[in-house]
Amino acid sequence: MRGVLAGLLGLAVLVALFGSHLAPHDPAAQDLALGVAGPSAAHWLGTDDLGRDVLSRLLAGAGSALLWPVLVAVGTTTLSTSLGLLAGYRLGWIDAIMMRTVDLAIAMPGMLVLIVLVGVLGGGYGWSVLAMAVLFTPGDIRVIRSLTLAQRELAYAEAARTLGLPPRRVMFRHLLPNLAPTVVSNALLSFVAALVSLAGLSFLGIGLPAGTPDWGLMVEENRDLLDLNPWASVAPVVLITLVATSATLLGDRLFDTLSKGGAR
Amino acid sequence: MKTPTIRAAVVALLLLPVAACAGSPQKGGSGPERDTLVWASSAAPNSLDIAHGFNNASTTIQLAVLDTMVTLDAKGTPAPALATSWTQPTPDSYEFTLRKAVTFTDGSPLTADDAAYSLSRHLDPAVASQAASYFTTVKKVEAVGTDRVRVTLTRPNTAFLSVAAIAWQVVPRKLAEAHPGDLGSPEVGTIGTGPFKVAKFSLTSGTVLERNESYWGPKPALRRVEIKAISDAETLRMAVRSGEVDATDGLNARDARKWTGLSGVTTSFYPGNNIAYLALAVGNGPLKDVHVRRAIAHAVDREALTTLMTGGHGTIARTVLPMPQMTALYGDNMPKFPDYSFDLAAAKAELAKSAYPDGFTMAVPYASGSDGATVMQAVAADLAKIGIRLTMEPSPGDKYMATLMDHRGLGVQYVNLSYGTPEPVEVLPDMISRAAAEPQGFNFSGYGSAELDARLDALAGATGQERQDQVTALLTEIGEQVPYVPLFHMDNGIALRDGFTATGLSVWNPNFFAVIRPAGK
Repeated sequence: MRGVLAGLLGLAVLVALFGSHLAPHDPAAQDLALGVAGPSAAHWLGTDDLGRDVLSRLLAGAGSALLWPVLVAVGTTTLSTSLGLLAGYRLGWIDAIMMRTVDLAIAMPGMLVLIVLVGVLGGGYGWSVLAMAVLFTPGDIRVIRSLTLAQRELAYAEAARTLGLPPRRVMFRHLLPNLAPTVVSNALLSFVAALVSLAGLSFLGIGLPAGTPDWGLMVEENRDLLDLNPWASVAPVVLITLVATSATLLGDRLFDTLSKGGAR
Repeated sequence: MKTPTIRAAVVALLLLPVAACAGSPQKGGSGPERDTLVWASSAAPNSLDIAHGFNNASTTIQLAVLDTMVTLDAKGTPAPALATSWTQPTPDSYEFTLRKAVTFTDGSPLTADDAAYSLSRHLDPAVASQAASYFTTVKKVEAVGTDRVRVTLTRPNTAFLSVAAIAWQVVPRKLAEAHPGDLGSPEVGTIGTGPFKVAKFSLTSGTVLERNESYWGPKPALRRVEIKAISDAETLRMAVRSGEVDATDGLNARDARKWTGLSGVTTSFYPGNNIAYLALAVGNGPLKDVHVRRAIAHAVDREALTTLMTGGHGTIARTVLPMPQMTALYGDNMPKFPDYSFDLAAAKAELAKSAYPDGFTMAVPYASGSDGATVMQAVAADLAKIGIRLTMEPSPGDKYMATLMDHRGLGVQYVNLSYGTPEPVEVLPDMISRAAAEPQGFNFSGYGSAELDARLDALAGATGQERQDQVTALLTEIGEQVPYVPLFHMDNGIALRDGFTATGLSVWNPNFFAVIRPAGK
């Protein structure tokens, strides 16, 4: 099962990297005379209302649909792991300030903040990705901190401190590997959340410019074509769901596998 | 702040009169005869008073409940309504004779004082009427005797009767005076002399109209009309398909294919009094150059765009006037105006004459999820072929509109406006007056001059051939200077479930509920 999931995600990555080259047509090429049309030999998934090839846009859009969530996941994981370790290990005023800040951040309606930031204040798509990385971080900080609290009391951590190792080395060389199962699964969950949220933003028409090949934007742009060429909006939904589900299940499997490896 | 101007145009936009449905396909209903119609609009009405609810959903109800002093016939010519006749003693005054023995639905008689006050209230700052911009040339309104009303204008205005046909809705003076700011609200409601009376008006749960049995004119065939708002186009279509809704005017020509296939539903499309165009900000960088503007006009494939956006229910626009206005003005003798056929070679040749022979890049804001997003994608693709690169900048609809109306960052804008009268003077000042080039105005090109303003003023008082010649000259100049690229006219549509028919609807008088009737009646 894990192999299948990894294979699916690997395929998605390959498409994200080389999708534009695999596309049978120019994903931006319009054919207004053709307009929206169902699947045919020339257009396997039909065309949208501007006569653009749906399959080509799906392939070319994979990069945009997957790259940004990966960046969010990397940003979220890096931030939350560092800050969670710091709070859980150092405790004291650092922990107190950080946890109250986390409490405040968790209480904020993330999607609404994003909509205001990107839609109303006019930030670009890059800002929404950065904001999403920051907004996803508090929950993960709390998880990492609680795990760090448990790990720091274990004998191996106590031994490291007794040897006089500096805190940074204890945190990142000794505690972090033991948090790896959670960190990895959290990263994948952040990826999934970002994938769905960014698709949601695109669906709301906030973020990427019209015409950009992107799965979320395709759902929004083509939702009125359900009667005429359902593939134009259903296909990106299926792909988003497939990638999100695969990443979630793979995260579960990786957590189990890495956890069985035991603590060092 | 020129809110009234905006409202006037937006309302007119939303008035979207239903054009001649005479001859529209009708299907005989097989079920029991019904005299209650369930109607859905795509937006909720906010007021039964045009002073506070000058929008499509509201005016649809107002026209059923409130009579106007004059109306427009099928050709757009002013015709009697509550006024049986009128004279024009001087070029800047009118005298109307009131229909006799007309009563409001509360039983009180209609008086000349009611009629006069119903117009003069739009000039009262306390009323803050959304229709005030329609009556800026009204100087004085007075009842003369018991059955006449005299209107004195500040200057001759040939459009006065046409705008009066929309906005001079007659209400009891006593009621209107007592409620300058909230007449027509759910709490106050309204009283009229029209074919229907209001049985219920709620902003949230809909409106119910009942037939006015003491109506002075032909009694409507419908006994009761239940009105609801369904904002999502697809939900509206499903509601009509399922029979939850009997009729709607909320269908878009672009979606015609979805509607025409519905079983048990008859859809009719008819010319709308609208114009879709690209506004080119003549003060913005490369767009200052007329050769660039002409290059853009040549590069846009308007025929393909028209098919895309109207689903075959529209026509290519040759001027900035809506087609029904052109027809009302010129009839069959349409002059030939400067036109720019889709010709990339000609576009490149024009661009070569400009200071930007290799093209340029320009940011183009647009409203996300709107028709404008689709149009601008197609336009961007066309312009890219001659080296003009448009960078699409998405924005939420409300924010985009606010920015647009503030005239910030104007470049190439897609605009689609509808109007309510056959008068070119309703449209042209929006396009080329300097006043409309200020924030909150509709002149998004910024094209205008003192000389043009003077010509617009002269046009307001012109009649007959002189008026036609002046409009022709203005349209020719717009065609030559290309501050706008006319794109298309979109038909309006109405969908009726089997069991109902509609005949006699007019583009100039969209009184739906008076002309929709149970099939066979």
